[in-house]
Amino acid sequence: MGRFIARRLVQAIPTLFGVLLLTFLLSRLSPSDPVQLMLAGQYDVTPEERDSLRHSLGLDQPLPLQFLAWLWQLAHLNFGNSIYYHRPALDLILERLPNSLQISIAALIVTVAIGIPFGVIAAMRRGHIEDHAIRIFSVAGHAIPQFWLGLIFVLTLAVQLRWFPIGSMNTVGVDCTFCWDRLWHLLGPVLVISVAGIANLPRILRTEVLEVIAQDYVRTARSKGLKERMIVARHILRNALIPVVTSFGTILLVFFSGSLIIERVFNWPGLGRLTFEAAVGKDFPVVQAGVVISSVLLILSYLVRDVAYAWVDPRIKVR
Amino acid sequence: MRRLSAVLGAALLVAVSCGQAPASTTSNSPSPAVSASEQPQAGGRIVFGATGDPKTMQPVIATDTQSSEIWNKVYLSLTRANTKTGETEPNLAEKFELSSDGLTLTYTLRDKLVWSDGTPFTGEDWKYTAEAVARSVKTVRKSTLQDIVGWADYRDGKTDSLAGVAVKDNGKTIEIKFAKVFCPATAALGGAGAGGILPSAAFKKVWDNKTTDTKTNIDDNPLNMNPPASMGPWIFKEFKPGVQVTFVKNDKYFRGAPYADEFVVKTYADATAIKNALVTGEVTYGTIEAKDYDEVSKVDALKGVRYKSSGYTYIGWNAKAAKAPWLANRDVRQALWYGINVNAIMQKILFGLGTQVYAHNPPPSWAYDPTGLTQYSNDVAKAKSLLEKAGAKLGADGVYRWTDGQPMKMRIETNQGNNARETILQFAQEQYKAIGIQIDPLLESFNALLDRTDPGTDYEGFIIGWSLGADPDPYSIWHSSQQGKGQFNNVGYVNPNVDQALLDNRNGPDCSQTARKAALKKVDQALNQDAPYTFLYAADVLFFANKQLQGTDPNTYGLTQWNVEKWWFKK
Repeated sequence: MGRFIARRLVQAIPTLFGVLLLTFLLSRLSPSDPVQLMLAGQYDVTPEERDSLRHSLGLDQPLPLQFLAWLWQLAHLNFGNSIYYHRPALDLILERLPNSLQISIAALIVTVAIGIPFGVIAAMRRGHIEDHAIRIFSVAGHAIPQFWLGLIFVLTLAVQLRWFPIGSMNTVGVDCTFCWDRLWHLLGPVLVISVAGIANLPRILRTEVLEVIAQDYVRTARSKGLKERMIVARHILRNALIPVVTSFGTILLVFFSGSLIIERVFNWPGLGRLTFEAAVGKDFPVVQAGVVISSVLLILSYLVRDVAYAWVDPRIKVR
Repeated sequence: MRRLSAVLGAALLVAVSCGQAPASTTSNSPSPAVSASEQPQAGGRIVFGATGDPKTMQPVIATDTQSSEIWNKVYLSLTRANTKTGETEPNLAEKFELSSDGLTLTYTLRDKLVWSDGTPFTGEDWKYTAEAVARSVKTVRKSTLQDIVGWADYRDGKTDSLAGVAVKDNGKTIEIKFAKVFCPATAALGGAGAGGILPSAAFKKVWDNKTTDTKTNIDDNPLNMNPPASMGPWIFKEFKPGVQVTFVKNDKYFRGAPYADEFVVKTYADATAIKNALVTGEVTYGTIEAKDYDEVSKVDALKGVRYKSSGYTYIGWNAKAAKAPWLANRDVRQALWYGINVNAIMQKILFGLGTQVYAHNPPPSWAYDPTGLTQYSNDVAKAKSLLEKAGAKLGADGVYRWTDGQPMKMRIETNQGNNARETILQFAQEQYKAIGIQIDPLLESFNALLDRTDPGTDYEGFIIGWSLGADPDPYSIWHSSQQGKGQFNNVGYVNPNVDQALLDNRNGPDCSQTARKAALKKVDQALNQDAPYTFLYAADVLFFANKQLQGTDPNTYGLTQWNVEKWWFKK
């Protein structure tokens, strides 16, 4: 397993390099001048001082050299200072990251807890009303944009009906992480962001379960008189889960990209909202740090997916 | 002097302005007065919604609304504007007096003023703040203090103390000498140029004002995000980025400790999120956008007040624009005014909740006098004839060519996220096409907009707003000398008659309101004809509060929460 993880880590390097290169180039392609933005509001600065700052930031160097210098800074975990907050961008990211992880982890749990039973039910009740209902939900869940669902959730369930809070992590005056108040505030963003995952899983799982049901070993299990619940859990689900584990990559991607908008809709002070607001405000160091950290997390989550894949299907280790 | 903090003030232009008699009150609005049988009760938390985190909590360098919503809770001025009349009245000062020759201003402080940490408040705090403004490289507030004797010497490091300011009687009296008469002095100088006075004892640990070293200043230090003491009704408690800023009540507040225990400025993504929070009761009070007025007015739990704002929104035209030389031509600028349907814009954005303006001084001001001003209305034929009079010729593609042959195409920019300004930009793009001028719209961050439109030649049109103080002194906006970096005449406006009228208003020698009004009338008439801006509208402020919150009484001038210590929650 150790060698497997090491190999996957090495394979992740080109992906990470690509992400870094793209992030760097996109920020340099922007029409905004970082020096102009950094000095916005400082009126006693002479053109010579501007040039001096440009030189000290290495912005007068050729692009490849700038890229190498930036990589060197990243290797020292130095993403520069936020133009808006005047604080290290990495500190801002690390402050917000746990807030985003709360949504992502909760959304993953909800997706698995609802999506897998939905997939099994759809297959076991093939052609029945349950199957049709789940399929309609899947199609709708794919088609509805997350931001729209989030806005409708806030306007109807929070503003009109007052069943849920309109957003934020806690009620004003309450400050806790592991408490009902936080769970209450998590429900909205988690449900909205989970919809795409819940829509995705049954679609894949249904096909796989139907395939596995037809296998000889399932028939054998039934003929041995095993209880149906045992057959589903031990024989059908374990074998049907392999492509489901693969689909987690897509689901995690949806969570990461969705958090950019959903955190804003639900006023959740996470990494997504920070990155979004930094992009609108052209706070490049924060945008770069946000994109790089999110990408590293995504690559790591793919690694976890691959390890889980190897665990579910031991043949992976051999290959 | 206008309040520069809010100026530029982004989406919530109106949030910090305040005023004259209420224009109207919504149907479910009880009188703010508390009935005799109801006794105020202590306790509770007041929550206000802000769009974004503060950049700083220190007034010398603050330029945005979010920041001023924080520092104005802890740092006060010696004077303040009466919320209804706009007249200057004592605040931390017990009295103030301008000498008969207009060259000496004396503030006498109230007795026994203390900061929340127990340090006495003295004139040294005022002097320290003024000197901090002088040495700051980030501040936009220097012009307020420039007529004080010895100002330039201290600013440039030739002296280690501002010679024109004397602190006497153990700090109880502040005497300020001017090199020339400064008519708005009493209103403008109460906040030492910054708007709010800093606790010098604490700030001296991060920047000592008694120095000739101009390389040091107050611009970057930890106290800028952590106010160490308060003279206001609230004491800073904590800042959670992206979440909220929390204050607790100041038992040493000179008007008496507030009834409420806490004040929270909570951060929201945008104005719609704040409106939702107001409707659901998460936010206790706030101002809303006109588009939400009908919806919010119907909420039983809320009471509302509508009043005029002391500011306006406009499209500025840079007469020095390198890529649009036609903007230097008065006929073209008038054509641009006739070419846009301001009425339609107001209906779309304000639903009629505002006033169209035709010059600088807005309706609530004592200097407001629209008589004799040209009331520009949308007239495509007139706009085209003015363009042709200026020498432009219509091209085959429907776009006018300027005298040098280049098509009349230019950029108009504004800040992203401000719905009203984005809508104006859309209107401008469509309607200027109809008069043969092609617009290239640009949305950018607020910081980028401010920086790009800092006086220069690299921008053409821009949409933004001014929030103005009670005492009208538009010198820094319109005087031809105010076109350097960081100054506000960024449309390259030059008119010798206006220059003189601005000086008459500012430096007298006759500082009577009648004389100043006559001078400001000349300014307004010239601006109305020269059209350096297409003046658009002054939006009404739409203030709503939870009905349980008693004692609120906002108006055009000063702060919405000017009497916050008297706010209490009815159980």
